[in-house]
Parts: sequence; structure tokens; C-alpha cells
Amino acid sequence: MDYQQILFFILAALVIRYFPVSNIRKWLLLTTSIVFLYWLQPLSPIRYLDFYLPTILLLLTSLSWFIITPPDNRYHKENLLALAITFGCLFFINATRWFGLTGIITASRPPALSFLLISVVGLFLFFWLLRNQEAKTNRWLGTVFLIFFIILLVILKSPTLNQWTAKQIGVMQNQSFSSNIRFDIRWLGVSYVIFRLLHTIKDCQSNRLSGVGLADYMNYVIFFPSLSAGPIDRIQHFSEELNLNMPLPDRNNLVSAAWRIFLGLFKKFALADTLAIIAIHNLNLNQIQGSNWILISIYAYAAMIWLDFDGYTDIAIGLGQVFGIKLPENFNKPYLRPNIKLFWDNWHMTLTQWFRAYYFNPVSRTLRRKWKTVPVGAMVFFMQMTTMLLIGFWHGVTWNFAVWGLWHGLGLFVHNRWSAWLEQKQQSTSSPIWQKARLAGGVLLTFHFVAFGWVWFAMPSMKQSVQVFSSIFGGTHG
Amino acid sequence: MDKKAAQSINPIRLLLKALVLFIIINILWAAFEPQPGYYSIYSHLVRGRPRFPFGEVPQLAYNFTLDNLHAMFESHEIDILPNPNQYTVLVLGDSSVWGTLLLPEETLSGQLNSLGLTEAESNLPIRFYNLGYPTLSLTKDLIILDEALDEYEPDMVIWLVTLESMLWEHQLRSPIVQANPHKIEHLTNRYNISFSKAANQVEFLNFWQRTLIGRRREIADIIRLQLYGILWDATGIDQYYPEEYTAAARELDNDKTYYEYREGMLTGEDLATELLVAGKNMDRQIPFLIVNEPVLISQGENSDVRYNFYYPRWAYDQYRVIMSQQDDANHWDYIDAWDLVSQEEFTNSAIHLTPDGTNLLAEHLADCFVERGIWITID
Repeated sequence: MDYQQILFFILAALVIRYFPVSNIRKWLLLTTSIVFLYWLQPLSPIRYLDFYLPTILLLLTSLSWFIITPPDNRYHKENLLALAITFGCLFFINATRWFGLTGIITASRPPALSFLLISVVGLFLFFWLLRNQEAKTNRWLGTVFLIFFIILLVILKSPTLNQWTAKQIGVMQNQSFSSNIRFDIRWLGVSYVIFRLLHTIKDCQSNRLSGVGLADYMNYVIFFPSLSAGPIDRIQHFSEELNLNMPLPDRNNLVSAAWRIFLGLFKKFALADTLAIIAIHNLNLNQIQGSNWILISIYAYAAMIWLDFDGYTDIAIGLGQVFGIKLPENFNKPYLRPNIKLFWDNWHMTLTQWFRAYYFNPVSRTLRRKWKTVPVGAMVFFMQMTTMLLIGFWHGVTWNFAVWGLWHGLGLFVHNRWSAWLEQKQQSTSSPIWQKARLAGGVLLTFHFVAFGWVWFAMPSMKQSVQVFSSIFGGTHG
Repeated sequence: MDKKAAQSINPIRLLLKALVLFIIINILWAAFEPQPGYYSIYSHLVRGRPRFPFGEVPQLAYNFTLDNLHAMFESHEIDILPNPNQYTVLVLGDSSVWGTLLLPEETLSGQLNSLGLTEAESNLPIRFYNLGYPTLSLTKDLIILDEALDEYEPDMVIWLVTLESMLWEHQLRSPIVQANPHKIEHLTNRYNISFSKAANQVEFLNFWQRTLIGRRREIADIIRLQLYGILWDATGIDQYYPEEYTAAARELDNDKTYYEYREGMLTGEDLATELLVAGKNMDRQIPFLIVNEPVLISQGENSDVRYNFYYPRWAYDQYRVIMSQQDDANHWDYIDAWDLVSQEEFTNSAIHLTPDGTNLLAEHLADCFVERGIWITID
């Protein structure tokens, strides 16, 4: 997102919030989110992909809603209206191909109507076939959807699979390939959208969610302020906030929202973008001379990635406040935490909470139940490593992200065992100065552990990451 | 912002206060014209640049073009001067001096420094500073010289010129000249130079352009220059070197025209020799060398009509005659090195030399001064 897009977001948020007819606001939000979904999708060298991807995303969202919704609740008037608005928007956006509006909503000219018609007919056929299916079938279908979404995420996050798929789409459209152009699928916000969908399906399967309207569901999944960079809210909370009927914001609410957006803009565009100039990346790695400069560029990267992400979160939360929707916090001074566990409790919090809820806790429980003889240490090691490995893969299915995840998994494991050992030792109370020194030392150590961990994250290959570490310790380049 | 703090704020009043404050700051900025270019991390936190900031691809060059003269000097390694323990020589000129496609050590100043020269009388080591800047205008050089003479107390000046930089009509075209109208006014008043023959004139900034908002780009550029200074110091890179470039034309058009001048019509009146005189008169105490820089002498198609892309033969020959006459009349220390370098040693322009071509020029200049007894070589 650039600042012009954010400015549009702010204007749209204000218009929707102050729209005179209050019960239309939810529908306006849905329409705006759909339009922004297409507007934000970047141009692709693969023909029509900037139309296909948002459309598929909306279809998948509709399907997911259908299978988590009990048959009795599906054909409610509001849901039909939401469906009509969604497909009305889709047809309108598709029709811009004839209005000469290319480049205004979609990055390129949308395809002929046949794709959309086939998709919609397919969707309604699916709806019709499953119109009276009972909850049991829906649970089974939910599992199919879970597996499908995970496979989709793996394809999109693995560079090789992603590029291969992109080429196949191009081939299907008889598109010729130039070796100069990188063919890949860049699907805006898909990681967040899929995690929201997975959350709703899992919660439905475990009876923690029932009966969400399509409009709420759509608004939750594609809520435009949090579309591209989170946070990942829970639908129960989001729906509750949304259905407070968006009361007009009071003065304090507006000031607080404006301040949050301003902070976000400052963090992202003044600080993060500035630090990006000196942050380490694969192009300047071979140019930087001396270990001190390498260290400085790593610190710059660490600060940049936090400010960039935290800035976007501030903007999303501020925009949410304009709507009267309190989005969850994602960052809470993560670099000032004295150990790696607290770092992860305060870094990308909604993602870690998601993994805790849908992987760490249930799998830990199952393992403890099934393998009671396995030592606690081994169990902790396995769970920390696999959780962090999955978090690494969420960013990308590459060796570097895997090592980044394992790096943190190992850090969490070591910290866990160290804390357990300290507790057993029952240390005598130390002086306040010593406690402060330990705290400062912990913050410093944790920050450096995280900052060096970013090397795996920032570099595109293992070789270059190793090269960075070698340079820090005085090794030669390349 | 906590809830209590938010509750005590009236957004309308807050906006009004912010607006009033913003207007006041802008008015004060326009009235007092502070010079943010004087603040720099160069030569303090990071090393100074060996040449002025210039470049079109900052992400790759760690360098970029800006027009604030103070910021340019503050970022230059010359900013630590004066240094009484060295003999300081300023080298002025266009992109051929600045060193397009050359590493800092391959530029004329870099190569002169590597010769290890010593000043004959004082026995002080000679240090050459690259004050070249890639636009063709003597006025631009004069502005730089005026600034440098006051600040850095050089012991000698070498000024490389070519016909393109001497035409009156080109004098005020350069963006850096346009961005420094005060300097033009200063030159006009102090050295009695009239720029009336220039094709365009400089314009002073109006009130709105002098406000903080009006100067936002300039301020942002100065901040960016500091950031790229970190990368410059970390990498030693200050220019983007493309793997391939379009070589200067050797096959030329059969075209005798030179701007609006017809053959034989170029006269001393058309050349800004007064600026060279003014430069020399800025400080009469120090040696002042004017060099007609090497140009590509093509041996390709139509080379009997033109020397290169820039110059038809008649115009350039005429220019050399005028320069020779001016040298006699003004008693310049003048070296005409126009044909010193063969066409193979030019890169992407008829005035841009390869490292070997630059080395040839550096050694030629050194020889000239050694012969005159001004410099001695250590070896």
C-alpha cells in the first residue's frame, strides 16, 4: 500500500461512517472492501490475473461461508442481499472492460464475461447440491476445505510451485513467455485471508462458531484496512463490533483514530522507508565493506521490518476505529522484551495467537495424551520447533524461512528449559540493581538474537545468509 | 495515546492550532530562509565523498542529484579543509572531471593524487580535489569556485573547459545554476559579469517557494543525502556502473551545423571567456590553469565534417583559435589537450574518458607542471 491508497482508505472510511442512513453502512463497507480488493491487486504479467485472483478469493470466501452456515440460516434475506451485492460488484467490475475504465479499479482490462459467468454458475451449483446437507457433511467438507487451503498456501508460498502454477495459467491462456519477465502469482492479502477462513472453519468444526451472516463474514475476511497486512482478528469479535451498527464516532474516538493513523504513516513512510535505504538486502550485501557496517545494516533491517509492519498495523487499527471496530493489537514494544518468549508474545501477536490456538495447543494436548512417557523437554522441543517452522513457512516455503523459524524455535526451547532450570534452582532474591542489569542484558541479548535471525529472513538464499554471518565475524565476501 | 488524554482533546481546536502553528512555521521559514544544507553527517559520522553528489539511480548509485550547494560541499571530502600541511589543488570541470563511469580513484583528481606529486617550493604533498560537476556550464564552475575559494583556501586551481561549456547561451541552463540565483546575483555584482547573452535567466524563489512546504523537496533531498552517505561509506560506491552502455558515436552525420551558428560565424563574443577571466581574478595569488579538455576525434564516417557528436570541425577549430587568442591577451596558464587521447579511450560521450585515457591526461598535466618547475615527482 502506498500513501495515496491509504488516503483513499481514510476518505472511504469517513464517507461510510458518516453516511446518513446508518443501516446501509454495513453494505457500503462490503461494497468498498470488494472494490478495494480489486484495486489493490497488483498488475501481473499473466493475462487477467489481477481480475481472476480477487474473484477466486471472493468465491472461496462465499463457499467457506456456505459450508460453515447451517442450512436453515443460509437463505436469510440479508444473506441473499449480501450475495447480490457481491456478485453485483463482480459483474460491475467485470463490465468496466466495456466502459473504458481500465486501470481505475483493476490494473488491467478485465476478461470477457464468460469466466465470471462460469464461476457464478459453478458456485450456485455447489450451493444447490449441498442445499440440504447436514452438519456432519459440512464437517467433512470443512476438512476438505482446510486441506485445500493449506495446499493453496503451500503453492503460493513456494517460489518453485508458485512460478510453475503461474506458467500453467499462462499456458492455458495461450500466453507466450519472455525469459526477461518473472512469472509468479502475487495474490494480495491471501495469507491473511486464508488464515481467517481456516479460523472460521476450525471454529465451526469445534462448535465455537455458528450462524454468521454472509455480509459479516465477507466484511470480516476482506475488511479493507486489514486486508494486506493484518491483524488477524477473530470473527466472533469482529462480527460483534460490526453489529454495534457502527454508531457515529465520538470526538475521542476520532482523535484517537487520527493519532493512530498518523503514527502508522510516520512509522511506515518516514521511518521504515528511510531505514530501508540502509537496511541489508541481497543487492548491497556484496558491496558493504567491514563487519561494523554489516552490523549497522542488520540493525537497520530489524528496525525497518518492525516499523513497517507496526506502521501498517497502526493504520489498520486507526481505520478500524473510524468504523467503530476495535481491531486487535499486533505489536507491543517487541524489541524491549527481556526474553524470546516475551518477544513472541508481543510480535505479530495475532499470528502467534492463531498458531497457538490452531496448532500448538491442540497438537500439544494430543501428544501429551497419546505419548505420556515422552519427556517434557522433548515434547517442548518438538512443539516449539514445529510451530516456529510453520510460522516460517507462512512467510514463504523456502530454506531460509525454515531456518528462520527453526532459529526462533530453538531460541524458545532454550529459553523454556533455562526458565525451568532457574525456577528449580530457587534463586535468592537479588539486589534491584542486579535485577535491572539482568533485565537490560536480557533485552540486549533478545534483540540481538532476533536481529541476527532476520538475516535468514532478509536474504533470498542460505549461501547469502551464511555470507552475512561470515562478514560479521570478519570473513571475506563472496 | 491513552483514553484520558484523548478525552481532553477537542479535534477541531487541535486542527486549528496545528494549522496556525504550521502557517507560522512556514512564514518564519520563508522570512529567515534557514540553510539546512549546512548540517551534515559527512566528515563527522561518515567519510566525505570524493566528488559531488550526482546520479539518477540512487538505489544503485547510493548517490543522487540535488541542487543545494551547501549540502553538496558539506558532503564532499574537501569540507575538512583548509589543511596547511598539504598543497591543495581544486580541479573544476564537467562530467569528464567528475568521472562518469569512472571509480573515484580513476578520475582525473584520483589519478593525479596517485602520481604522488610534491610542490616544488614548499615540498608539501599535493592533494587534488575533484570539484567537477556533470553539466556543461562555466557559470556552474564559477559558482563552485567562488564557494570553494572562500571556504577552503586552495593553493591552485585547474579548470577544464570545452566549447559546449563556454557558449553564452548554455550558461544559465543547468539546474544547479537555476537553483542558486543568489550566487548569480553575487557573481554579477562582485565580478561585474553580465549574463544577458544567456538563453534564459535565473529566477528568485517567490514567497511560497521559500516556505517550508515550498522547500520540502530540497529538505527531503538533504536528509536522503545523509542516508546515502551511510551506504557510500559502507560500500565505497558513489555511482551506478551499468554493465553495458551506448558508446559515443564514431560514425557521424554529414552535418556542419552547430546550434544556430553558420560555418565561420562563431566568434569570441559567443563564448563566455569573461567567466574564465573572472575565475582567474577571484584570487590573483594562486596559480590558475585552464585546460581545453580532450575530445573524441572520430575516424569514422563523416569525420572530415565533424570531430564528434558535439562538434563540427569548423566550430571546434574556430573555438580553439579564439581560446588561443584569449590566452595571449589575458596571459592565462593554458594547456590545449584537445587531441591528447585517441578515440578508443572515450566511453559513452565525446568528452568521457576511460581510466587509461584519464591517466594519459593526468600524466600530461603533471609533465607540464614538472617541466615548468612548479611540481616535482617523488619517485
